[in-house]
Amino acid sequence: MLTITLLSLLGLILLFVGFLNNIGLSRTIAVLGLVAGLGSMLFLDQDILTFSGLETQLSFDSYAIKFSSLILFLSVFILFLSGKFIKKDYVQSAEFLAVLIFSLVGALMLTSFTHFITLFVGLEILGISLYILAGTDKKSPGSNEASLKYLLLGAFATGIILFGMALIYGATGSLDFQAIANLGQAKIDSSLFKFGLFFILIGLLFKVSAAPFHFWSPDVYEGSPNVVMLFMSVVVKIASFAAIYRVFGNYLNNYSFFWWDIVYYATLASLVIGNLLALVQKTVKRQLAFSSISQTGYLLFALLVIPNDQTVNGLVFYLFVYGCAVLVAFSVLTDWFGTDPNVKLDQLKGASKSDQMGSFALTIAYLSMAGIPLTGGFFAKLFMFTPAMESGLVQLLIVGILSSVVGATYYLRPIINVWFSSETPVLEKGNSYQWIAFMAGTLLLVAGVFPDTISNLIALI
Amino acid sequence: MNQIPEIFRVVPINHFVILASILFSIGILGVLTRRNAIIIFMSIELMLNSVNLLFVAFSSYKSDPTGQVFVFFIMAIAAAEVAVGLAIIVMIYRRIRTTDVSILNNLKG
Repeated sequence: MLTITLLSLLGLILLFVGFLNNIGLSRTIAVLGLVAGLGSMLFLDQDILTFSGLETQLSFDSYAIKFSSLILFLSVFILFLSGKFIKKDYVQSAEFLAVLIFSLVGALMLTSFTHFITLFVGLEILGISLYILAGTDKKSPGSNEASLKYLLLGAFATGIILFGMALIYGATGSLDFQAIANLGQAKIDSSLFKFGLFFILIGLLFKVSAAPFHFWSPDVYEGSPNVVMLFMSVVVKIASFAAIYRVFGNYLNNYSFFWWDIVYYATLASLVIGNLLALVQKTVKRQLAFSSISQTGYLLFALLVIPNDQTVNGLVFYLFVYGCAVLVAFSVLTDWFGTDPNVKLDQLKGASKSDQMGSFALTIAYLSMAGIPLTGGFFAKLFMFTPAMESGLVQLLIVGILSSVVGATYYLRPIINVWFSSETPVLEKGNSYQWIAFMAGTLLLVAGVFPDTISNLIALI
Repeated sequence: MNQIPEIFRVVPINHFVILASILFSIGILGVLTRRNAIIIFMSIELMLNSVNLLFVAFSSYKSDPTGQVFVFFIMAIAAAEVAVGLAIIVMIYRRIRTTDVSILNNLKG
């Protein structure tokens, strides 16, 4: 509760600091607050501060701390990257930062809930903040549209999850996950319980944008401002995976015979649809959106295998590497094209002539997303595939490996455009975010060459 | 919550479940078939309210207050969602002078 309270206060403070009209000051306070939050998450006992009635509904166990620290760590850099966007005159910078911080409160709740109420409230705090964030580029029709689509489909998915919760409540008489995890056979067999699980699973698959419930995400990702898309594909992905794994991997794993098949086919569909559709995209953001659907497929492997600490650490490692890769890609894009939301893949042609360092970082990021050895992505995929192999999911592994080969072809396109083209591009040539690209790129290389250091660190938390 | 009003027992629980499911299905159909953003939004509210009905019914039958507490959370958050949602719809209306979602097709691929 300590970090959640700190972040809520930080959001309120930021709203008041907004009166001073000093964007730099607001951003400094936000970054310092987030760093303090990360520190309190890692080094302080979360139970120092609790509210009566809530202590049994949020539990910051080591699972929650792993995911929350990852979320806070990556969002510090996302806040830095938002600098160029919030300086636009029609963007309300104070509100943007405050809503971003509030959405982190929801994300942290999604990693630590133990009760249906906290799961629902976390989903909605994150969701409602994101509807606003997606629409912050008020002058752009794409941003407006993304905001409306996200609102309608997100609220729809929430309705489905709630209906499932109500059915499970009817079948079991409890809303506490631990109580539901230890039920007698008679209650499990009731059709109310089965339908309830089904609806919750569908709703959560919708939130993690697994195919065939993915159709909203490319549109929303493309329309949102760049920094918001970065936030969605990093923080929101981590939070919603923390939620779906906590529900189905930790608590309801005893009932896997109900939901295993659905997750299995959703995994296959995400791998195939994500990778094949990414092949034909023309803009950088849309390609990354479909690539994020295929990454969802790899991440869902974790739900299909026997849950243990190793699976959780593999999941955190994968999300860390993927988050760093997207962070590098967006910081380089922001340096090259400012806040332009529709960068075409062709616009990258020949970029290496004017910015070698940036091109190098971008190459590492894309290679890591493709899973090439010596980058973190290789070990991330390996850590996902190994438990699946031990569980004997051979067909799934074959589809997974074939689709990463398909994936490698489209991840190579931007790299080829950057390095091997005679054209000279029009770049903005700002170097303000090069340090983020450099740092996250180094982390990717470290994760690729010495994966043990990172995975030991994750296991330590 | 020790004494459930007898009136609840007059109607069997199955009837509540069926009524809530029908309302929920109407909501889903509304979201999937209507083109007006406001009406889609109303359908979503209908879905949420069918869930409320189900929670209250189960909670009364089981003599357990948790379900009714959950209903308060759902109502509060639905109100927040409406506040944000209507603001977004107004923003869209100012730009394109309609709330018909089929006109919004800038983003596709």
